[in-house]
Amino acid sequence: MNIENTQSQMRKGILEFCILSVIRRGEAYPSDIVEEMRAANLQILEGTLYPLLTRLKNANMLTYRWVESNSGPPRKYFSLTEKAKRSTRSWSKPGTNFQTA
Amino acid sequence: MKKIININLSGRVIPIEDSAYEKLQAYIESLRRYFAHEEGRDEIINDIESRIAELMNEKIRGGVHAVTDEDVEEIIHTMGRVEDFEAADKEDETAEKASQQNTTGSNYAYTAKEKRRLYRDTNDKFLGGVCSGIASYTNIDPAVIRLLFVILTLATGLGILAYIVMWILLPPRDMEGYVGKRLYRNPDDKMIAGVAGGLAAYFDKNPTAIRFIFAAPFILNILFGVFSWPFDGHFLFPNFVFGSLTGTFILAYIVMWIVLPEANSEYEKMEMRGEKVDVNRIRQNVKEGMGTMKDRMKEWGEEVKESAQNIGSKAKEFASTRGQAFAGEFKESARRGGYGIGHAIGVLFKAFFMFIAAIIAFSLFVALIALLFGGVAWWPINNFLWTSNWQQFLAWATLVLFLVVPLIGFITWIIRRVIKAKSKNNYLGWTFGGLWALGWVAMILFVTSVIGDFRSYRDITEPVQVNQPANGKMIVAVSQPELEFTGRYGWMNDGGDGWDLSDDTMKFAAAKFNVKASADDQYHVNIKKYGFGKTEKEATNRAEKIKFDVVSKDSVLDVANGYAIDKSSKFRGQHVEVEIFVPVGKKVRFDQSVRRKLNSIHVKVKRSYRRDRVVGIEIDDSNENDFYYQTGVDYVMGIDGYLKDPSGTAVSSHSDNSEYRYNEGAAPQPKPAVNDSIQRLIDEENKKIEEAKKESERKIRELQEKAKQVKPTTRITKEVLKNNDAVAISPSPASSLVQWF
Repeated sequence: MNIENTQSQMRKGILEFCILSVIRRGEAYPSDIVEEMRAANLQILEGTLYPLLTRLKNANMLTYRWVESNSGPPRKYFSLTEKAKRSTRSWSKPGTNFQTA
Repeated sequence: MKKIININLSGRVIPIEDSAYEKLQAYIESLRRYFAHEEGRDEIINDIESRIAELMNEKIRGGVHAVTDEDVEEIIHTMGRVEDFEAADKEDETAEKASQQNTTGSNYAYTAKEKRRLYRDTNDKFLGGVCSGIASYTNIDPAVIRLLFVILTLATGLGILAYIVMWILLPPRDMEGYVGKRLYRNPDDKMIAGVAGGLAAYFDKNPTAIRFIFAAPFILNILFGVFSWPFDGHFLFPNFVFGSLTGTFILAYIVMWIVLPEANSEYEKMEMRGEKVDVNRIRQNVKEGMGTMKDRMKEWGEEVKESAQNIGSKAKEFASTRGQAFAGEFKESARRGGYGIGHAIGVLFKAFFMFIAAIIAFSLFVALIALLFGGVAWWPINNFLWTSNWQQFLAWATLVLFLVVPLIGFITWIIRRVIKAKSKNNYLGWTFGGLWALGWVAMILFVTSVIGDFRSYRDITEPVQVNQPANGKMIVAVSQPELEFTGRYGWMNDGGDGWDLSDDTMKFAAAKFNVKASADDQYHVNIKKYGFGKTEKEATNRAEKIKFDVVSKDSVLDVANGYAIDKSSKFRGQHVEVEIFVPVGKKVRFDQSVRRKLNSIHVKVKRSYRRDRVVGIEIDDSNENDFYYQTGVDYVMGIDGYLKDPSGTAVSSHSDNSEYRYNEGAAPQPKPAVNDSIQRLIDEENKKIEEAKKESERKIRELQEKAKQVKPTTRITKEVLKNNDAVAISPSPASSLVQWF
């Protein structure tokens, strides 16, 4: 395993972790996720967010529902699945501040 | 002024400016490519589209009546460009690949194998994606491969063939494409179109050096042309346009101008220099990058104009600044002159490119004709074919309108099919159809005109002064060397034996021999010359103009190695015959040189009952009409008017005696009483044919075996012999020429 590989895996992992952390606090709309992550000084583009969301959804970590919007087409609001909830529960143990991210 | 169109994005109708829409479309297309291998690609794209729709909707709500370029830019910025994703993603990819390699060996082997196969790249294509497929297979810049194909096509025509074959054979595939440095035209460093600049960037060389390579042969040629012009009297222009090196370089430049895209965006420029090539997956597809062939040609035309003006203004600038530097009282006039020069150069440049374009078109045209004719090599024959300018005109009109026009029409049709060009009116079809109809008319007129030249058939007889042989035997020989193509036209030297051609004379090594019984006890020889013509007079005239010499010396009748037709009488099936009258009981012998050096040409003329009206002509040199006599055999004139060989078999020029070839070689060959020089020649000739003879003897033996088996049916025997002869004697080229009409 080379260093680059590790880094990219870490980066991917961190991004996914952050996304899940944001959504864990409640249903979220992708642009809101971006906003929140930006606020935490984590630069992410919407364009890169969508594939990650789809990937997580396909991995049964996320689910979504359609919400009518008056500013355009219906919006997809993402929330965690039971499976994701179980696995993220451990994150919120004392000692990790990441969830604020 | 901008056009506003309504688009449907995720179920919302959004008014958008035309140019903004194109930007958006290109962006989504790039995303589609980027996510091509991602699972759930459509979903991702849909999500992104909805988000874009939402953002646009907000803009519209904000009060604008249509989404503008800037809005789209802004949206793309928030969503992120593919390039921006790329940096992170590249690492992901390598990681994935690495893990693949580590964990699943078989999987790796499969992908490796997949990669080694040759496909057509549907993502990056001009016509069928063959070149870009090869490019990604070999990891060479597609532009370079395309160039090679174009050069191959222009040079040999092989390129297009290979392309079409591969187009058919190779499976198409959406491919990753080529990764690496790309060859562009460099707009930042250009003299004419930036070709040299682009090449320099690609090969990391000094652009000036590359420019010099392009320009050197051209300049040298002009210099040489100017210096040599007064001396050799050659016209200057063809020298430097067709001068092989210059032509190649100019052509190469123009081809590259057309084929290579200009590196317009920052991204393309980086690609050109080979920087940051990882962001390669946004490729120009046909519409964005190269544009369709048609658009490119149009663009090219405009570019040519532009650069011509550009060069003009540069020269003007140059001239005026220099003019100021020289200053003084010449300042004003120099500037004016400079302007004039600049303008003149601009105009000259335009003219020059028009000229080049015309040359290219013309050479394509010539190539077509050359293909049709199997080479321009036949050119000098032109002098001998047409009896009038009108006929010549008709011949060319037939060639061009009847043969070339449909060919060009076909090519045009193919090209238009390939580029999917559609025109509302069918004027092209009408034009080609009309021209072809004219071609039919020309052909019919032409054929009638040529047939008219064969209406009359006349012969003239010229007696030859015969020196009566002392020992009662006349030997017919050809002492002149065998007629060979003199090679006056270097590119025609494979014309071979049996005929010759120069600007004013055409010679055929062909003559017919006819031996008859003499009415008295003297040998007599007549030369009969035959000619065709529109009228009897013309036919006679043509026959008279044939030059054919037969000289009697001691006991030898020395026949010329062929007959000559001069340019003024044209070639209309002229032929000659030697009539030999042998007294009864006297001998005649044909030397081998006759067989060797003269082919027989036989013309059968069918006449109608009306006097001298020719209704059908058949010219052939098949075996049956070939030389009837054996060489090296002493024939004796029988009392019945037929020649008899030593075994007593009668031979006549019109008999169907097919057996005579059997005895060749086996027949007795008494030593002839010929004078020394001829004998020496004969010996040489004998030696020459000795080897050929051995070969044919072997064949004859084989055939004799066969012949014995089928002896009862003489017809078959004849057939077999005919085949044998086809091997032994090459057909007379004269007749193949005649069949040419």
